[in-house]
This record gives sequence, structure tokens and C-alpha cells, in this order.
Amino acid sequence: MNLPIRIPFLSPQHWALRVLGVAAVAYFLVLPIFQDRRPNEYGELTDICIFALAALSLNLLIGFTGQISIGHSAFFGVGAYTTAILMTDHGWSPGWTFLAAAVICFGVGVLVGVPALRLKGLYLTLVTLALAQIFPALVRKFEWLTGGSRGIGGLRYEQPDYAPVDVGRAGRSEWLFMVALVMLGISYVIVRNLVKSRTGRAMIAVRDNATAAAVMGVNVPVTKTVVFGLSAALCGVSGSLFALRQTQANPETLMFTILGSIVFLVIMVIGGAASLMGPIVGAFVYYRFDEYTRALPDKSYLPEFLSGFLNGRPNLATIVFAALLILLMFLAPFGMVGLAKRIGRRLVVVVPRPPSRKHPVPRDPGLPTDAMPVDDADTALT
Amino acid sequence: MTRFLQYVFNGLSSGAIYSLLALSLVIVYRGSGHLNFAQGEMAMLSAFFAWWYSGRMAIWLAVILAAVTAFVLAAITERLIIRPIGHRSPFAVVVAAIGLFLGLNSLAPFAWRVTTQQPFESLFPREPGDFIRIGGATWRYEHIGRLIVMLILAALLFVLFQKTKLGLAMRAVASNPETAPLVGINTGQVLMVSWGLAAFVGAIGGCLVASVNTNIDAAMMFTIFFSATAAATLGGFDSLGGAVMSGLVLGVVENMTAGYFPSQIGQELRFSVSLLIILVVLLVRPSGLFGSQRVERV
Repeated sequence: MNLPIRIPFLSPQHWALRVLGVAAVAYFLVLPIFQDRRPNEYGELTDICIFALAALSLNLLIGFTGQISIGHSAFFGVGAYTTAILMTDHGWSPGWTFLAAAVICFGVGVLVGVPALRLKGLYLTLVTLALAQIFPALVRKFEWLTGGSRGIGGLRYEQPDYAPVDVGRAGRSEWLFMVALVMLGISYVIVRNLVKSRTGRAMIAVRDNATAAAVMGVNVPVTKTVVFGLSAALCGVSGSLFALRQTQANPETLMFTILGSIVFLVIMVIGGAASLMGPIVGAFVYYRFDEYTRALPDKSYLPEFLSGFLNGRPNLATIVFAALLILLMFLAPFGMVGLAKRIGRRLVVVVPRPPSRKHPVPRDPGLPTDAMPVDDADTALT
Repeated sequence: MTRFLQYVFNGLSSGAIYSLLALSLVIVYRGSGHLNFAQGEMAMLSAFFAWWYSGRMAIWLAVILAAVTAFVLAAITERLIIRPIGHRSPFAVVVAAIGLFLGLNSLAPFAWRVTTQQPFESLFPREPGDFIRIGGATWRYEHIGRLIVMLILAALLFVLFQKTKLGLAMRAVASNPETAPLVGINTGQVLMVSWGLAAFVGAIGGCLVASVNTNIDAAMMFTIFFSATAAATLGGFDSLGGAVMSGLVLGVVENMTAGYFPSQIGQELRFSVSLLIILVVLLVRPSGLFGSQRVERV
């Protein structure tokens, strides 16, 4: 058999592949809804969805538009505090606060993005660093609004009557997971459609060569600002979910400091920059590995001297991820999903259907017919 | 007036640290055009080295040895990590630097198995009576000491850059990395020395922070590094003198805003001054006060 196998676009084999991909995601994320899991297992899955959503928002900005932000922990925090404040002070139902968080974070994101128009690369990163640095301090300072360093507690998302879940704590954690999953799904579809649209091509053009993009008629400032706002909005929603999952918002939370931004970046890079599935895969790998090493010193199969070595030291996972981040920049800047795609392409190639004379492909005068498929655009990042 | 002088004295002391860190950032930036996000964490790790050595030797000797360790480690980092990745893309370097940040931040507590603050011996006399009085304001010896150490280091750097052959090579690489090799300069060596030198200066800065705090922990450089980036931005990222000047200015301005507006700004928000400075400088004059304008060819 000759490798790669070539299968036509939208042929039964292609559909089979697609169904297989969807089934894989469903197995990990959707199946738990129909099973009877323990509440903390739903909690872990909720965390994974939250991390995936935050990394997805970062991917929109870094992976597809080439603007590096290490200030997303601030948007995460703004989202969390929006939910916390609206729920406790104004009696909002948690579901509506997602929308409010998205809108507020979009505004903040655009505000930050506007100076970013004049700033390239390094300087934009500096501004976002400032943002990450200042957010916890602002929260502590504006005590009348945010509760200062005590934070805001008691944020519970009680399952509504129509929800197909049990009553009590078990049902509540399952309900929150379902909400997080739906939010992740909606955001995934938004990002996917955006990236595959005309705007998405403009974003990728801005990333690869802003000057050339401007010459081709892309409005670079507007593209950059809007993408920054959108990315912030999605990150805000994941922050909202995080507040509900933690049942509180507190400035001491590690995720609201610059380390949170770095965690999102790690997830995004491990999964694969400029890949749609990357953040979700990355979140799974990050969360499960972090969890595994946390429990590692107590594992019985570990030799005595190793568990003795690990005992009393901080989590090994952080160092491993840091090393992995650097190593990935050497070996596979396109991340795990990118790597899988590269390997997969050696085995199976989907050939686009040639335009037939009976059904000619409508030509969009704005795009060359051999325009690069978006999924291949990750090569440009290296 | 007393109050004003007091803020100036305190500001110069914290400003000296900003200057040192800003100097490190500038040295790296001049060499390779990268902003080393891990500079603060490298300084933190050096302070841990000094703390470790100080169990065996006099504290001053430990600090110098830690700075030398930092020099070697940073030169190796440049050669093995930053340079090969730099051939790929600037994005990759930023990610790698962030990886370094994360890695060093957890490596220090991991390697020494300490998750809490550890006591650090002071480098200067700090008895209650160790100060001089000028115009009613007190200037503590340890604050004067920080300033003096910074000024000595800055002077040494000036001599190195202006009077030695190595300094000439470094300036050549900074002004034109493409043509420097054509006149026989080993660019790679210069870059390694730049990173080493930056880490050396940063290490002294980290130890001075530890000395004034009288303790060390993994998060000790977060806000200081941030202010140092503001100082480097204000000074124009490629000017050594600018870094020293703006570090000191930033320290004084921060102390005054925090001191004169205790309820509005206070200690919690004192570094919002840095944020403001970064934004204003980048929007109004991206090359800073002392930096050279960069012309970009398309």
C-alpha cells in the first residue's frame, strides 16, 4: 500500500475520519454527562474546560494573530469578579453574568488593544505584562467593590429545575460541568468560524506579515484591536466559570497573577499554537499531568529514594512544563496537535475535490484559488 | 522639605535596584534585541545561590560568587537555548524566555526544598542607629549602600563598554549585528558575554533586594522586574545611561506618589506609576528618553 493514502474531500472515508475525530472528543468530554461520576470528577472536567477555554482565547490572539499577551490572567480575573459582583451585589443569575463578563472584558480588551496598535511585538507584551501585574493590586485597592483581599465568597450555581441532573452537591457539580462544556463548545464554534472566514485570513495575514497584509487591503489596526477584544471576552467567560467553580473570587488566587497567564500560554503551546483542537488537548494534558505529579510522592510503586527526594518539594510538573515549553520551541513549535497532524499527513491526505465543469466552484475574486487551508497555516509560525 | 527629602532618599534606594535590573535588560537587548523575561527570575535564583553559599563563607564573598555563578549559567543558557531558538522566530524566543521564567521560578524552591521565606543576612549595617541625618530626613546606611553598589557597577560597565576591546566589540554588535562579524568580531562570544554580564549585574541586584528584605522567596522579583521593564522603557531600551537615570527617577517618583497620596495610591498601587510610564512612553516616544530611533526597512 502506498502511503499516504489519498482520499477525496467529503467522500465516505473522509466523513468516517471526521466522525472518528468527533467521537474521540465526545468520549472524553461529552460521555461523562451520561455516566454517573463522582462530583469531584465533574469538578476536574470543569477545570479542564475552563483552562481549554482560556487557552482557546489566547490562541486566537497569539496563534492566529501573532500578538503575544501575558496579561490574560487579568481578563480571567475581570471575568471572575464580574460574575462575583453581579451575583452577590445585584442578585443576577449566574448564566447572565457570562454575557456581562464577555462584554466588559471585550471593552477592557479593546482599551488595551488600542495602544497596542502603535506597539509591535515586544512593546505590546510589555503592556500586557503591566496589566497582569496591576490586576491583583487593583482588586486589593478597590475594597468597596471587590471585597479587598478577603475576596467574594459563596458563589454557587444552583442547578435549575429543568436541568437533567440530581439535586444537591452532586447535581450542582455536574450542572456546572455541562455549562462549562456548552460555553467551550460555543466558543470553539465562534473561533473556528472566525478563523476560517475572511476575517480569519486577514488575522493570519497580519500575523505573517503585517505590512504585506496592509498592502493587500487588510485593515491592520481594526483587525488587531477587535481580535484582542474578542480574545479578552472569551477569556472573561472562562474566568466567570472559574469563579463559579471555586465558589469565590480572591486576589490571592494564583490564576489571577501573571503565573495564570503563563499557565494559559503553556497549555496553548503544548496543545498547538494556531490549531483549533490544540487548546483542548493541551488543557487535558496539562491538567492530568499536573494532577499526576502532585500525587506522585505518595505512589506506592515509586522507589523509596525517589519519593523521599520529591517529598517536601513543590510540584515537579511546573518544572517539566517549563522544560517542555523550551523543548517544544526547538522540536515542534506547532505543539502536539500540529505534530499529530504532520504525522497523520504521512498516512492519509484529504484531496480537495477538483472543480468539475458541471458544478464549477464559485470564484471569490478576493482570494486566490490555491489559498492555503487554514489548518496548514501553522507552518508559517515556525 | 523633610518629607520630600525622605522620599528622595528612599526612592533612590529602590530606584538603584530598578537601575540594576534595567541595566541587565538593556545589556541583553543591545546584544540580541530580545527582552529577557526571565531576568528577574535569574536574579532571584542568584539570590538563592548567595543564600546557599553564605552558610559557608562571608556574605559579601557569597554574593560575588553567586554573581559569577549567574554569569556562567546565563552564558550557557544563551548558547544552548536562546541562540538556537532565535534562529527560528522572535515569537519562539519570547515563549522560551517565559518558559525560563516559569522553570526558574519553581526550580529555586524545588532544588533547595524550601517553600517558605528564608532569612537572608544583610549586606550592610542595619542597626536602628545606622543612618545619617540630612535636613531632618534620615538616610539609612543600607539604602546608601544599595545606591553606591549600583553606581560602582554602572561605572565599571561604563569603563568596560567605552575603554576595553570587549566593550568595543559589544558596541559594534549592538549597532550593527550584520557587519560586526565582517570586521573580525566573534558575535556569538559577544552575545554569551552580554547574557553573562546581564545576569551578573542582575544577580547583584537580586542579592541587594534580599539584603534589604532580609529574606528570600521565589516571588521576590515579580514587581521589581516589572518596574525595571518600565525603567528600561523610559530609558529607551538600548541606552545604559538611560537605564541608570530612569531607574533612579522611577524609584523617586514611585515613592513620592505613594507617599503624597497614601489613600489614593499608597503602597499597593505604587507600581501603577510604572504602568502609566510604560503606556505614555510607548505612545508618545517609543524610543524612550535616551534611546536611539530605530528605522525599519520594509
